[in-house]
Formats: sequence, C-alpha cells, structure tokens
Amino acid sequence: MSTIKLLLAEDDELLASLLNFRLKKGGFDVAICTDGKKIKEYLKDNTPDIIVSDIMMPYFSGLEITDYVRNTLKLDIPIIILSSAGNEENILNAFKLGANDFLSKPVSPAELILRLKKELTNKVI
Amino acid sequence: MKLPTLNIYSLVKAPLIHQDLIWDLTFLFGGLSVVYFSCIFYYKSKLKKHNVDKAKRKKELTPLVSEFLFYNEKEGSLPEKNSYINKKIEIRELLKNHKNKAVLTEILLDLKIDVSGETRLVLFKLYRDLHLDEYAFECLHSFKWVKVARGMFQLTQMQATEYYGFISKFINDRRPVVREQAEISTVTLLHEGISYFLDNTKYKISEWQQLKILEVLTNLENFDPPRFYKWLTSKNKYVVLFSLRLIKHYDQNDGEKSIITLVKHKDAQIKKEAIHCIKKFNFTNSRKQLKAVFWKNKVDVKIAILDTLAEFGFEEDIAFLETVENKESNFLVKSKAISSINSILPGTVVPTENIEVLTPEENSSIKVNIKEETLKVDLTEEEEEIIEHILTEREVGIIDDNSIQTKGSKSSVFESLFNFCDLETKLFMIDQMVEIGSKKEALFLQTLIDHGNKAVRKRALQVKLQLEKSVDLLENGIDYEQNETTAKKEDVEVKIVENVNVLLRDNEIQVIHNTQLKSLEFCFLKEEVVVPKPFDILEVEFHMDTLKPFISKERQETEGFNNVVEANGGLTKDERNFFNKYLEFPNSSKDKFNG
Repeated sequence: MSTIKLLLAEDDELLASLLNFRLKKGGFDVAICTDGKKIKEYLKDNTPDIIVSDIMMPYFSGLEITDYVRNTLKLDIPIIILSSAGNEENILNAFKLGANDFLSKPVSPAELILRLKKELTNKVI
Repeated sequence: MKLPTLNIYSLVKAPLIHQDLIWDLTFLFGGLSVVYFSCIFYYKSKLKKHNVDKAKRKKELTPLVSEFLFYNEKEGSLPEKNSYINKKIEIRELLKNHKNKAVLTEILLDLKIDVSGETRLVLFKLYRDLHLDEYAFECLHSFKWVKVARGMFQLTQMQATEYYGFISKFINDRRPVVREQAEISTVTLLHEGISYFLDNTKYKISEWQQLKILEVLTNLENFDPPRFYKWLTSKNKYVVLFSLRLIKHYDQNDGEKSIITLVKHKDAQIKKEAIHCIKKFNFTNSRKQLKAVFWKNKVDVKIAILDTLAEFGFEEDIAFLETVENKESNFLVKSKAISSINSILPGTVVPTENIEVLTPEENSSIKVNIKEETLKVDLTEEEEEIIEHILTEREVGIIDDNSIQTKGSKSSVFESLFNFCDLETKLFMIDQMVEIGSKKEALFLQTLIDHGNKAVRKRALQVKLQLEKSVDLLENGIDYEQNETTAKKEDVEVKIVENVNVLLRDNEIQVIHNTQLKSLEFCFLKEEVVVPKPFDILEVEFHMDTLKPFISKERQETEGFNNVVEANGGLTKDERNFFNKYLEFPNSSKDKFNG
C-alpha cells in the first residue's frame, strides 16, 4: 500500500512537530508548511491526498487556502481545518468554502487520525 | 512721540564658565553615552544569544518529547523499546542542565494548551517522570517572587495535586503576585480549595481576582460548590462580598436570614450586593428591613432598595414610597420612587387604561399640535408679532415625544447635578440659572446661601436676587400700557423673550434653541441636538482697506489719487479690474477652497 501524502499547514512549530511525529507513525507521508505562501508554492508543484490546515497563519489563512484549493486549483482534496478560535462563524465559513471537517484546539492526535481516515474512506467511496 | 527703549542686553549677561570645565563635562557625558550604548548592545546580544540557544535546545528536545508522548509499550517492537530506553537515558542526561529543564518545562506547558485527550494525560505523566515537578517545587523556596509564582503556575498547569498543601500556604503571602497565584492554584488543584481559600484569606480580593477565581470554578469538572452563605459571617469583608456574588452565581437561596441581615452592613458595596441577592431570590420578608435602613443610605443603595421594592413590593409599601417621593431631595431617587409606585400599582402614575396605540404619523401630528398650543396665550397683537419674530429668528425646534417631560419634580434640575461637579462647574451652573432659572432655581439658590464655599455663597446670593426680580416680573405679567411711556421697545423685547422661555417651560415642553445652547441641562439630554453651524473660514469675506491713508499726500496728488472713486473693498476701479484680470479673486466658496 502506498503512503498517503498529507499536507500539514501549521504555524506553531512545536505542535506541527508533534503532529508530524504522530501522523508519520500513523502511516502518513507528511509535508509541513508554516505559512500561507509556502502552502501555495507547495500546492503548485504537488497534489497531496489530504490537507490539515490551521486557520490563523501568516500571509494566508486556512480559510483562504481552502478557497484557493477549491476555486483556483479546482481540487477535490479532503480538507480538515484546525482552529483555536472554534466559534460558529469560523466553522460555518470553513464549511461554506468547502472544508470537509473542523477540529477545535486543543486537538487530540488520536481523534485527528480517525477523522483523516474517515475522510479518506469517504473520498474512495 | 519717542517711545522709551529698554536695553535688553544690560539684563541678559552670559555667565563666565571656565573652558576646561566645559571640556570635562563633554568627556563625562560622552563617556556616559558610550557606556549606555555599550550596555544596550551587550544586553541585546545576550538576549539574542539566549533566544538562539533556547531555540536550539527546543529543536533538540521536541522530537524526544514526541517520542515519549506517543510511545506505546504494548504495541512497540523490540528495536523501538531499545530506542525508547536509550532516549530516556539521553534525556535524563540532558536534564542535568537547568537550562534544559526550563526549556523542557516550557515545551510541555505549550503542548498542554494544544493537545487534549489521552495525549494530555500522558503529558502530565511525562512531567512527573522527568522529575520536572521537583524542579518547580524547588522554585517555591526561592526568595524571588517571580520564581515562586512561576513554580506554582507550572505545578497547577500540570495538575500536580500532591503539592496542594505547599501552595495553599502562600494564600496569605505579603507579595501580591505570589498571593494571587497561590489563590488561583489552590482553587484549581482541589475542589476543596475554594473553601480553604475563603476560610483563610486575610487580604483584599480584587474584582479582577474574583472574576479569575469564578472562571476557574466554572471550568472545574464535576464541581459541587459549597454553601457559600457560611462565609457571610467572615471578618474579611471581601470574603463576604465574594460569597454574595458566588451565592448569586450558583443560585443558592438558603442563606435568606444572613443575606437580609447584610442589608445593615456598614459597607455600601456589601449592602448593594445583598440587595441584589434579595431581589434575585425574591426574599419578600426583607421589605421591612429594607424600608428601615433606607434613609441612612447613599443614592445608589437607595435606588437599589427602591428597585427591589418595585420587584416584589405590595400595596402596603406604597405609603413608604410616597413618603420617599415627598421627602427625598435627590431627583433620581424621587423618580425611582415614582417608578416603583407605578410598578406595584400599574396605572397610578402613568395611565394604562383606555389608551390608544398611536401610529408614527399620529405621533408626529401631536408634536405639531403641542407646538401650536404652547404658543396660544392671550397676548396683544404687538406681543404676538414680537414673539413670532423671535421664534423665527431662534428656530425653536420641538424635539420628539420623549423630550416631553412631566414636571413631577418640585426641586431644581440643577440640584442633583450640583452635588456631582467641581467648583468651577458649580459656579458656571449658578450663572446659567440667571438665564434659564425659575422659581425652583430661586429656592435652590436659597439653600446655596449657606454653602460651605465662599465663592458659591456669594455668587448664589447675586444670582438669586437677579432671578427673583425676573421671576416676579414674569409672574405679574407685563403691562405695556403702564410701561409704554417709560420702557423702550427693546426692553420689552428682552422681557418677552424671557416670557416666552418661561411660557414654554410652564407648558411642560422642553425646547432646544438650536443656535443658543446655553444651559448645562441640555448636555444631559439624550436627544441629538442640532449643532450650530461651525465657523467656516471660506465664508469669511475679506476686505482690503483703502489705500488712501497709507499713501503720502504728494503721491496722491501726482498719481491722481484725489480722483480715486472708492469702490467696494476700498480699491479703485482700475485696481479692481487689474486684480480681477490677473489674480482672479475667488468669488464663491468653492473658488476660495480651490485657492
């Protein structure tokens, strides 16, 4: 079985490193981008199988990235949004722009892996 | 005429300073600035170095932390187990360095915010396994308050409940930061912490601290709050106050007697809080007590009592409220009493029966009618003419229905404002009373004659005399026939202006003169007031003075200035043509604005 390419967009290096470790352990091939610009550059050359993105990031927010993936790149990749500001407005906006799931911080790595697997299964179906 | 001249140089004389001294001072300040900038540079580079070192250590320790957090003893293969053991040895070696301990603690505290679930529990376990709790505990013995507070914070964040006993001892520490952190930690670590804190604290609990503790209590899982009425007997008045707030927050209505008794407390804040509790829990038995203590209190407490009576008062309380209405001098309290009467017996003050609901169009027509009716008085034709002229000039506008107030108050509006302002404003207010005052103001001024301040006394007396004169005049009316021979028309006009003002007031209409806002009373109106047109520099007409006086007689004769025909702005026809042709004087505001 080939590894699943995952783009982790998170500006907090500590959390990114922790999730990276756990996700790699869960069988994902993780690429980390710490700001919006890097994400866009990465997406020009690569197409990940799934994206996990924080909302608050330098240059471009997670919501803008979602919009970019859905409307500019026209990609149907599952996107999971992470945010510490889990207010209703953010959640609704994320779903409106085409995000597949939303997770509020503090995040449980085990739960994140389960949700990722669920999204990938839905995509295959 | 020759003006006397003053030789300024004779007054200003530079002091003699030795040149060597100037050089010495130059070197001294030069040296000091070098030392200053060197220190800044040194500390900045030290800080930078420290940050770089910290980042390096973080990079080194973060993968190790991740490894420890996600290591599963049951699932792990043999090589994984070996790697785990080696890394544990490695981290223990690293932790011999205090800097690494600090960095690792910081990493764990940061991760605690970002992760939840089982990972968080593993994180707490790892904190203890690496003996970082002992490191934090050592900080509690430090003489530096920053270290002590930090140690307590770390132990609290990592839920090290075994240190509760040590931390709780700090709740009466004389250092406020340590004390406040100890209070938060005590309440957070154990559910019994709040009881211990309320039992033992001897210091003031600030409002901010109360909010923080309340937040901690709200976030505690499965927290069963104790009965807070037990602390209403505390000697610390801040504990009593906080307990009352907690009682209100947790809806504990079992301390009725204690709460009612606190209405008699010496502290106004506690009284107010107790009254709020009474109102919230509908302790109707407190009515007698509330009425008994009413007169001794300040305005805000009085209002709170009246508000409470309005909530659950009975008809028996109406007599008391009427007494308040008649005896109370403060306008706000008086109004509240009237409002309370109306709440207990609706329709007593404001009619509620057979009242039609009006449409917005009908409301606006009422506005116009009021204006017309207000001006319907028996005046002579001449008076009417003058009044109409004045009203047109002043652009009297009647503001909307909300501004129409009943004159229930027998005291001056200034009276309630007077108590809350400084001396300058008081004097200003007294001055205003000459222009807009009536009988009520005269009575109020009478009370000010015995005022503690001499300036207020003096001004009040002067204004009172003037006011009484004008009020008498208005009350007796203006007899034109008698005064016709003596009074000039201008005087009559002034009197009628005053008459109109009083007339409008007596008809219970509040009028705002758009262009002549004089009184402070208008500042307290809720309605939007049309601001008089501001001074516009572009609207100013500039005139050049005639050149004639500045030109010598000889030149006037030679250059024909005698024949000058003075035109607008003092320029000759030729000069005006010249300016118009070459300089293009702006004529309109727009031109002026464009330069």
